[in-house]
Amino acid sequence: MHIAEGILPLPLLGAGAGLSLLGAAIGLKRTQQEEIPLVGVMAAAFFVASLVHVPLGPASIHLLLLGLVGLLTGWACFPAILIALLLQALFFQYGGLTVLGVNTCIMALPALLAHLFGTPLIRSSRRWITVSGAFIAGAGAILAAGVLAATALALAGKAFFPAAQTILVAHIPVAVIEGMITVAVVGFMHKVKPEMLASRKQ
Amino acid sequence: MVRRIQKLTPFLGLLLLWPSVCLGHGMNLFCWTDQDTVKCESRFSGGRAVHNGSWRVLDATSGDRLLSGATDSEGRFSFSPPQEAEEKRLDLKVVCEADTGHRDSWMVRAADYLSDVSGHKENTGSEANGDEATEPSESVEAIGEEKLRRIVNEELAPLRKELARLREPGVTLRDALGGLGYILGLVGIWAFAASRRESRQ
Repeated sequence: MHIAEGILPLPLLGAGAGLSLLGAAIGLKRTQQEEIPLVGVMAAAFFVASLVHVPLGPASIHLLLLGLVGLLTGWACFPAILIALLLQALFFQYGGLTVLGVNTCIMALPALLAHLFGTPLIRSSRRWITVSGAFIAGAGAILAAGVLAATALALAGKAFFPAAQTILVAHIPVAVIEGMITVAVVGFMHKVKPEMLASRKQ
Repeated sequence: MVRRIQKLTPFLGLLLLWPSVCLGHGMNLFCWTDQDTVKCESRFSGGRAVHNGSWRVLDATSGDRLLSGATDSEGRFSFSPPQEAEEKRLDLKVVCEADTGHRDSWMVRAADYLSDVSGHKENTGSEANGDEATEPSESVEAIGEEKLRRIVNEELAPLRKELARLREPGVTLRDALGGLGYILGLVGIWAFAASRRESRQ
């Protein structure tokens, strides 16, 4: 899902950088002081999730935890993902510094969508709504990120459908696994610390 | 359902602790010369071949596109350096791009694909051979310089391939811990700034 350097045109890189900075500013402004540690933990989880590999045939793919980051941090997913991607670019050579903004948008926008649409669902008192909401947030965020990555490549002049197909097919197993992880974590929090899911402002 | 989730949690926790530190991303391109053609192979870090990736050959100094094409189903492609490149002794930059947004490049130096030895190298070679080593130069002549070059290239190809593999950016535990340390530090700075702001108010 990380787009490499030197593929996207300059206006797209600029737009991505601007949008991600705007998102990060909104995220920082909306975060309450007591939520800062949680945002840090989610940034750290996102940062190391790329090292958790799921073997898939001859290749292997890694986790992203987008839905979970979105559900737990809300708008603060922008600064969390921006910092984690910056460190991934510096330490792991994933993506790159010039595409940092675009990569942040590709991953933070689906996380934000997971927050906006998933949060009301996971707060529901009916268990099946909570479970399906968490699964949809986890799996949907990955698929949405795949569509956004393909769109970015299409704006760079690549054919949209082959890129979207390759990316989405490769990420369907990740989407399923992430949906399950999100269900597990949300279920665990409901049991142990339900106020964590309820306190966040929309 | 909650019970089932609780049962599942340790397994998912295990998944998160998966000790494999390997490469999720990145693509690797490797090129070697075989007589007059340059052969290239592109793979994703996981080992999967880059199907139908696009490749192009650029003049390494000016960046002008000389050749382009698509990789086959095994991620391979080959090309003969164009006449212009041979005449001007251009270093070639081979760039390969997958349709998923991954990309890598490889430098093919003029001395690698030109069958005649570049002037500079020839001079230093003969100087070194100068007075003491008449025998080796004789045997070189016996084999034929071009053939010798080809043999050396063939022998070196697997070694170069191995080097290309080693060139893959590896993720070490130190990198991961370093990144986590940075995040911890940034959270600390953020919390500090937030608490100052609050105490002022």
